[in-house]
Amino acid sequence: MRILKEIILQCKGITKQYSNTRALEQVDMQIRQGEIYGFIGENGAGKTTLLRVIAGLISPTEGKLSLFGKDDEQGLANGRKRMGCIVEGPAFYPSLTAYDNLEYYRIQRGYPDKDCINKALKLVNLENTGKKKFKQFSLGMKQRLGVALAIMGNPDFLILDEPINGLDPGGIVEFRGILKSLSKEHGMTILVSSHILSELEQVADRYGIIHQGRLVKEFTQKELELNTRRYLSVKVEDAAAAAAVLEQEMGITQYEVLPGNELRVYSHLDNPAEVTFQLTSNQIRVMFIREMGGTLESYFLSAVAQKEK
Amino acid sequence: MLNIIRSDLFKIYKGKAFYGVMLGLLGCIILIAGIFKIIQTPAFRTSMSVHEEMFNEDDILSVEEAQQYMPSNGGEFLVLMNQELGSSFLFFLLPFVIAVLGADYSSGAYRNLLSYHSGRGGIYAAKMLTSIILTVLMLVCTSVINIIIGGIVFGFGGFTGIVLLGTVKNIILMLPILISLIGTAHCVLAFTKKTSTTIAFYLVGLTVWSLILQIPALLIPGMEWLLQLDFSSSIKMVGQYAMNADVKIMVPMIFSFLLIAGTYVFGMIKYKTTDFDFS
Repeated sequence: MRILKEIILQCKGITKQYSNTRALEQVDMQIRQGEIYGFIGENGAGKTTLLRVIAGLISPTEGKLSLFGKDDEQGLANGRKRMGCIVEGPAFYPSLTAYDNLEYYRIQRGYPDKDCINKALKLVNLENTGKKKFKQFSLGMKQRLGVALAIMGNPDFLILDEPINGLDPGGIVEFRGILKSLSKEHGMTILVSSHILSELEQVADRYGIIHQGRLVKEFTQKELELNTRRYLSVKVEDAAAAAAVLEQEMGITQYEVLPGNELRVYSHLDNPAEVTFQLTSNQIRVMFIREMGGTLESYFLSAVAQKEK
Repeated sequence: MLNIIRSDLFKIYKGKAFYGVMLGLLGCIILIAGIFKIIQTPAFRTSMSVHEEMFNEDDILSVEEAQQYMPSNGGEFLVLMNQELGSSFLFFLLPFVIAVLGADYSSGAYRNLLSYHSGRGGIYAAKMLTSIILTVLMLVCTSVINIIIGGIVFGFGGFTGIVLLGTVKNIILMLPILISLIGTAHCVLAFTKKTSTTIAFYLVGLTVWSLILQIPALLIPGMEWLLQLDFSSSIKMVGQYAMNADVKIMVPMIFSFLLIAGTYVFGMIKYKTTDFDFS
């Protein structure tokens, strides 16, 4: 039996209207405890606006927001104290060091344990920055300091807005590891927005696609795998005969027969020539064979295109 | 709220800006004391006497007359600075306090603050209190610098109980005027969310306000009372009152308290309801 975990974040019909722009339109979203939710959208789609609403920087024009099951003012205030977030990039005082910036927030938030600063800096590999000031940091270091601040109070819910921006390839790999560890070892629920979809694909459990202020699609990692699984699309004259050859001559069992004499072969992706050879050797005419399937990018684009239709 | 104040004081302590401003102030006071000292030297007096004989202008002070205003000891220097140079705060030190208040906006750190502390009323009050603490600190430091520099340059005579008590009274009485200006700037910040715009608004506004009041006060008979609403004039009045001069300061005080209350309420309402999105 699947146990339903606590709902950490719930947005119901969130709408944000600026003077002549509707930035968000009836957004419904739900994130459960322990999930890593990948929030995907093009620039200007409304990702940051929704994150601002969740962080309390702006108020929605319509709709209801609840955090940790509470939607009243006090409940939201308490919920935000259990949240760590970077919205619109990391923001720190330029003339202070990494340690002093975090010390500033430690005092401000009333965390009693001074050691939480060193722990957070160590987790993002910034423990040796010494007297280097924030203004002298590279973009990647700034991003990592933002993450350090977000996780410093050991929050239950982490919101990261485009955290991969500015990170070098090594930094991206490292960051992915940090996210996975925060989720698995610390049990944090994470909402991470990005337009670098290939990076989200490797960490998220569930996704939401926002387009022109609307949440157009939500799906799980399993659904994504199913929809983006790579395969060989083989169009033949006689699909039944081809299936028999695949099974008997090549031992292939992972395949599907589709209407229109088309087969989807989920193995031998690296060797389509072998499949073609076996079929033609058995007098089965191959009309075409090619590798197909998708990535999160292609899935995202098709979801957006469908919505636009 | 206390944590926000503590953290801001930590930031001021760790940053260099406060020390830079106080060093600048120290430099200014040394320069002023140095000029006073030079004016009092026999060589300068002789050269000015020659100059006086050459031009023989009646409408300017003679060297002998000017000497009467020059401090002869550290205590007199302190009184002179309290009475005449208090308004330098308006153009020199308060913009720094506004910059400290606006640092959250210029660095973007308001996002970290607001996403954690949801009680915006408390944040607004805490920021206001921090700037008041900073102003008191700067007033006290300025007086201490005046005492030290005055003592070194003119000797440590004249620091009587009346002078020192007068200095304390001056600090206390200047505060409402300075807080009213900080409150106004804090309120403007809630609207503009930009430090540079607010400092420009503050400096231009202060000058324009002064002109609006001073022109009719000087040109129209019976309108002299308007000067009591002018910040630099009222700071001077307060300085004189603190040294037991026969000056009335009720109007500037009431005006300051009304301004503090008005801008606080107005700024707080705006701060509590505004969207922090900068888009």
